[in-house]
Amino acid sequence: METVNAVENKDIILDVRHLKKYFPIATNFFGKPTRFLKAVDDVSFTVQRGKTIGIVGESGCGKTTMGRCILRLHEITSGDVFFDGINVRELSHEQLRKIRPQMQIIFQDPYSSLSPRLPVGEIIGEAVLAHKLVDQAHYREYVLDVMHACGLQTHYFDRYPHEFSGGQRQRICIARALALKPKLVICDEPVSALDVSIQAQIINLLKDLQRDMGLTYVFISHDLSVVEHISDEIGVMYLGSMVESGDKEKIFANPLHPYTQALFSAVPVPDPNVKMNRIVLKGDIPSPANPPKGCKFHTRCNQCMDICKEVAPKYKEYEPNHFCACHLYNQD
Amino acid sequence: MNNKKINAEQKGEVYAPGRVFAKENFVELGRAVKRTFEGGQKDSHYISNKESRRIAKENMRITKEYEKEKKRKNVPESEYVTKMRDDRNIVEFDNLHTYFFSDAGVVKAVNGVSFDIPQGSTVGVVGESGCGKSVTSLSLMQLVQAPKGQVIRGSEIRFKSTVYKQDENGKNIPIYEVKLDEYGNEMHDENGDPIYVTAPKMHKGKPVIGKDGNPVIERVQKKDEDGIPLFETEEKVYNVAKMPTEVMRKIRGREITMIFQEPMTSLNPIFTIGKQLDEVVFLHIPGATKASAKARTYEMLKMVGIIPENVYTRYPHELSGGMRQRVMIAMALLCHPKLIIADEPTTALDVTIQAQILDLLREIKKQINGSIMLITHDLGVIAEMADFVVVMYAGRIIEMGTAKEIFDNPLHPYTMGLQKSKPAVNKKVDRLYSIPGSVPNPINMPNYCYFRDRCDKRCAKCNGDYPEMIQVSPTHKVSCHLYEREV
Repeated sequence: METVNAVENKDIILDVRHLKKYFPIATNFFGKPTRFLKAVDDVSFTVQRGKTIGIVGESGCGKTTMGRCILRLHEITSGDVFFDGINVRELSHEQLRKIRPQMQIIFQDPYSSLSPRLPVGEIIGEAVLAHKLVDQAHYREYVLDVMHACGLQTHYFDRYPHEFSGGQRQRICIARALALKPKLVICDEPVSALDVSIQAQIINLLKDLQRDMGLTYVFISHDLSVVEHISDEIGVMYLGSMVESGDKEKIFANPLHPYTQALFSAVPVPDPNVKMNRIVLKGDIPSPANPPKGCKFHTRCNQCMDICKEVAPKYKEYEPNHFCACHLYNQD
Repeated sequence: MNNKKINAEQKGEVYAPGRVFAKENFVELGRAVKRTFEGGQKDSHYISNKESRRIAKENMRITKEYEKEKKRKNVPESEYVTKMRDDRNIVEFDNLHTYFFSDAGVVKAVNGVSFDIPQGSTVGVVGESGCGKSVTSLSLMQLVQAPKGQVIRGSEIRFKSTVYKQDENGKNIPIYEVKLDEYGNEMHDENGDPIYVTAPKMHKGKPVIGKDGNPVIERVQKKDEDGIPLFETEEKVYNVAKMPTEVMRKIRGREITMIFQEPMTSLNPIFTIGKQLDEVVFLHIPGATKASAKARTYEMLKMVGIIPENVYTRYPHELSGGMRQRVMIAMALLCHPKLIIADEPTTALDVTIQAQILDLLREIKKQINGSIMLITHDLGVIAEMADFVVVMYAGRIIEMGTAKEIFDNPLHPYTMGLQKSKPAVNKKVDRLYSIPGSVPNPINMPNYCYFRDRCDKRCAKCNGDYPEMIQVSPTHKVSCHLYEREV
C-alpha cells in the first residue's frame, strides 16, 4: 500500500489539510462546469488518537460534506486527508476498500439508514463477512458480542428494523459501524433525531465504547451542549470554512470569533433564573453558491469593519491550540 | 438399502434416508423456532388477524357515531355554550381524553389532561415524542386526524371566544360612526341616543338615487386603521369538544391560531405569500376589501420583521426557513388572535435563527396581549419563554407548575431525569444521567404509574393504582406516590 509518511507525530490519527470540495452547479455549452458551490472551502485540522473533535455549525455550513470527504464518500476536489499516515485522496479503489473497515460513519437518521429488508444480525454482520474479519463459524458469536456491547439484546438478531424505536435503531447503526473494529468513527449528528432521555443513553454509550475500544470520533452536530459534553476539541464552521477551532476549554472560556460568540449565546439555558445577554444575529445564512466577498461572515457580523468586506481573514493560531480567522485580531 | 439399514442399527442409530442432511436442518430450525418463540413471548403486543378484524369493526362503529355527531347542522347553541371555571383563564382543559382507534387497539394519546391557560401568559408543554402534547393542542383546534382520532365524550375544552353579535336575521350588527364634538366626545341628541355620521349611499362610485328622486342617506360604519369595517362583538364561552365543525371554523384561524413545526411544508407552494395571507383576512373578517386585506397583511409582515414589499409577491420556495417561519407567525397574527399555539416552532431551525424567532414571539405576545401555548421538547426553550410549565408523559400530565417551580424544585422523577439528562453549556458532568428504557407501548397501558418501570425511586405503593394529582403548592401539582404523605 502506498504510504505518504507526512505525519511525523504518531499520536495524530487524522490530519486534514486544506480540504476543498466544490460541487458544480452550472455548466457551459460544452458541459464544462462554470460555477461551483463551495461546500467545503479550505478546512484544516488534526485529531489525536483516542480523542473527540466536535464540529459545530448551522445547517448548510458543510459539516456533513466534510465528514463524507474524510471517508472519501465524496471525491475530494483538492487538499489532503491523512489517515494514520496514509493519504486517503491518492488511494485506488482496491486500496480504499481495504482501509474502509478502519474508518466508519454513523448517520443522522436511524429511520432511513437501515435496510428494511435485512434482519438486524445481517445488517451488523454483512460488512464483517465482506471484509473477512471472522470466519463463518464464529460469525454469529462475533455479531452477538458486538450487539451486547452496544446494549442490544441478543434475541434481536433475527428481527427487522421496523420493530425498533429510534433509540434502538441508532444502537444498531452504532453496532454496524463498530463491528468492523474501526479506529476512526465519523458521527454525523447521531443524536439529533432522538428524544432527550434517549439522547443521553446514546451519548453515554458512545463515551463508554470510546473508553473501551480506544476510538477516535469526529462528532458532527448542531447542538452545542451535546458537543461540549462529548468533545475534547471543537471546530466551528461557517459557510464551508473553519472560523475557529481548538481546545474545548479554551474556546468555551474565550470565544474569539464573533460568530462563535453569537452561537454560544444563542443556546437556550434550561434555567428560568438565568437571563442571557444574548447576541442575536441579523438575517439568514447566505447561500453557499454565492458567498459574500471578503470575510464570509461580514453580512451578519456585529463588529464588521471595512477591511472585512474586502479581504478574507487568515486562519491563525492565537494561543497554543486555539485557531481563529478574524480581522479583529492581529493578522500578521 | 438393507445393508445401510443394518449398518445404522449396528451403530445404534435409527435408519432414515436423507437424515444426515435433515438432522442439521432440524436442529437449526428448532433453534430458530425457539428464538422466535422467546422473542414472541416478550412481544406481548402481538394480535392475531382475527382479533385485528374484530377491533377494526368495533372501531368503525364507534368512530361513525362520533363523526355523525360532529357533522350535524343547525345545532342549538345551548349545547356547546358553557361557563369558565375561572374568568381569568382563556382556555381550560378539563379531563380531556383523545383516543385513536387503530387496528391494533385503542391508543389513548391524551388520557385525562386538565390544565388552564391564563390570559396573557405563556404555557409551555414539554414531553418526549408520543407523549400527547401535540394531540392536546390539536384537540383544541379540532384538528385531530379523524375518523381514527376522536375527542371522547365527557372531555371539556372551554374557550373564551369573542364572536360577532348577530341580529334576528343572523346578520352581523355593524358599529356606526358617531359624531364627535370639538372635545372629541360623542354627541347625543335630547333623548340620549347617539347622533351618527351620515353620508350618501354609494354604489360603484356613484350615489344611489332613491324612489323619491333624492340620494339615499345612510349611517357610516366605523372602520379600523386598515379600513376594515367593525361589527359589534360579544363574549361567549364555548366547549370546543362538543362544537360542530361548522361553528369551529369561525374560531379556528381567527381566535386560536397555530404555528406548525415545519415551515417548509405548511405554506402552499403554488400561491404567493401575499395571496395566502390575504385569504385569511377574507375568510375571517367580514367586510374586508382587497385594499384593507393587503393593508393588514403589510402591517403584520412588518411586525414580524419582514419588509413586506420584498415578500408579498414571492412564492414560499424563494424564502429561507427562518423567513418562512416568520411568514407563518404573521399569518397566525392576522386576525388578532387571543391564543397562539406554537407547536415546536423552532425545532426545524438553526440555533441563531431560533434565537431570532423566540425573541420575536416574546415581543409579539407583549404587543397583542395574547396567550401562547408553547409545545416543545427543548427544556431550554421552555425555561426561556414559559410562565407555566406542564410536563406530560404517555398521555398524562405528571407535573405542572410555574416555570420557577418546575426548574428549581422538580418533584416527579421523570422531570428530574429529563433535566439531568440534558447536557448544558458550562455545566460539567462526567457522565450524563440517562433514564433507562423507553416510553411504553401506548396500547393497553397498565393501571399502575406509567413511569414505574423506568423510575429509580419506585416503592411498593407504585404497584397500586395510577397516582392522583397532588397539590404541593397553590400552583404546583405532581402526580407521584412519593408525595402522598405530605398531604
